[in-house]
Amino acid sequence: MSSVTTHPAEHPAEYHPGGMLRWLTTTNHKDIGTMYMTFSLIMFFVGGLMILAVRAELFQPGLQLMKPEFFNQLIGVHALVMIFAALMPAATGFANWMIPLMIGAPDMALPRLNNWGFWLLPPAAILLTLPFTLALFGVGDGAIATGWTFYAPLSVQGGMGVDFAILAVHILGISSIMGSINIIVTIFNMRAPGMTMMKLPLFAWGWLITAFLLIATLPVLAGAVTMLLTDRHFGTHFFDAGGGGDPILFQHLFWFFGHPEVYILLLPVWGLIPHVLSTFSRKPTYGYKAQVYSFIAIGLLSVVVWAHHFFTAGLPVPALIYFMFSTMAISLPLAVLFFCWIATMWKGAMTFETPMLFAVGFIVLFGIAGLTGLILADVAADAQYHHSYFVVAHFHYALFAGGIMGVMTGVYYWLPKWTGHMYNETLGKLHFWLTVVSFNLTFIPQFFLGLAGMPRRIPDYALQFAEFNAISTVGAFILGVSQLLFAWNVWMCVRGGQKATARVWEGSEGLEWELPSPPPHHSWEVQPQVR
Amino acid sequence: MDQQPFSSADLERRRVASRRLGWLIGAVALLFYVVGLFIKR
Repeated sequence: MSSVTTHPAEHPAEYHPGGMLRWLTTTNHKDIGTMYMTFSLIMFFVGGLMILAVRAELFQPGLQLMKPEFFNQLIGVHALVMIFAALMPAATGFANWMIPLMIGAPDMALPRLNNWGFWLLPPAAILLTLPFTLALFGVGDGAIATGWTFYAPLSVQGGMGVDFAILAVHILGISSIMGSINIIVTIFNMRAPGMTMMKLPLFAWGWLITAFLLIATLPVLAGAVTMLLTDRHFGTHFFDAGGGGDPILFQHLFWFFGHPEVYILLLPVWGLIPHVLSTFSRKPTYGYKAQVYSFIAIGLLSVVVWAHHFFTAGLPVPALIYFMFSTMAISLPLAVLFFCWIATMWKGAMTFETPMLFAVGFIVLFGIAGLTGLILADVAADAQYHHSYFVVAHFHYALFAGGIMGVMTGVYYWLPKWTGHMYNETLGKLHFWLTVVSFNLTFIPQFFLGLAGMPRRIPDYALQFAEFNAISTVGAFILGVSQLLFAWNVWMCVRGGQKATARVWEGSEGLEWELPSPPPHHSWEVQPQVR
Repeated sequence: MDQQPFSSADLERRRVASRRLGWLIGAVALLFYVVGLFIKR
């Protein structure tokens, strides 16, 4: 049997240019994973700076720093950047780096598609943020000011920033669909002999469901924003009530994508958390099959619950009841996941290195997202909380504590494998505690603001909301600054440090830990056999 | 864990299967998008 390692002229994979050309032309899954992670980190800080400006404005009542129009633009672009340019690329970076290593594949199945998928991202990010710069030179009226939801008819009437965002979302969608295709075909076709679907690492399972959700829902978002574009410029009236259209149709189309998007952001994290818990509890994952079936159940349920995002829009009562109960049904498979995570730790020989701290922090804080989500899923209660700061706090517990802290769990867990060096553990733990404390300082007050009736997306507010807003802003700035520790720790780990072993962690199990740290340029030249 | 080198033929077979499935999934995604534009309420 011949090896794949052949003469460079016969094998294009042996072509290794240096410098920028390496990154532009690379088809290596590890290089592309690194680019996704780097891009994600940069955009995380860009999106973070935007929201710090917002929090600074909200520090006290009255307008201090910016006009309301600019405030609205910052909020919308913050969300779009964090969702599409920070969280999703981070998860795709994990997939690129880890799935081939975990399943024993030499690379992703479609390496050129992989390269193309990444390089669509920077132009899309530029399109999202360019209107801010153009406005400084008197061109246009700034970025999209509708919030990330593009709700019609506001988005039909909005300025040039809406067009930029529509184009950016199309490009981001194409990139994500390319990435999803690659991940699905890699998992189906590139697994090592003996790795049956029921031996697939949970991280790969989480991503497989995510990829199918992206394929099913992103075309719907693309269709909705295309229709929006034709409403704006080509005389159609899909969402314009004055021309016989229906603005509520836009909400249905948007949230048919938007709710599964929440699980698209979270399923890769739910996949990686069991690996971390198992490693640092020194026990096998509890309930592997139960977790796989829960992923599938959550994936299926996520596409049939979208209208709970607009209970107050005037839906018929049977629809309200259906969407309430179907939304609440998601808590059942999610509770199975929580049970399995806790049971994995139960009576384990636990140690609390930084990834484990983040994983446990994730479970506690994401639990709060789940519980407050149940409150919002109740039609009667939602009438009170809708469009209030309660919602803002809830989805930040889901997407910061669930999404971003999950990503940080994965970065600390796999960074020694990627770089071949150990990160600074003391700095990692300091980063964890600062993040957890400041995150709660930022968002617990927002629950109370919402309960007291403060609406979201407003630059000014009544005097009775002043104290909680001041506390929230102080928390946000500590949270923002403490992320510099993370960036510094990652940077120092990339540059050097104590050498990491192949296995890195005492309790780590799986194919990815069989390779040296960092793995060689071609991940698996020799095919592993899984028993 | 038994190990043996990847064969070029095996890798090529897997990549061809991946390309086929990739095109199929891509076509389904495109179909969702195009058909969705023509659905009347």
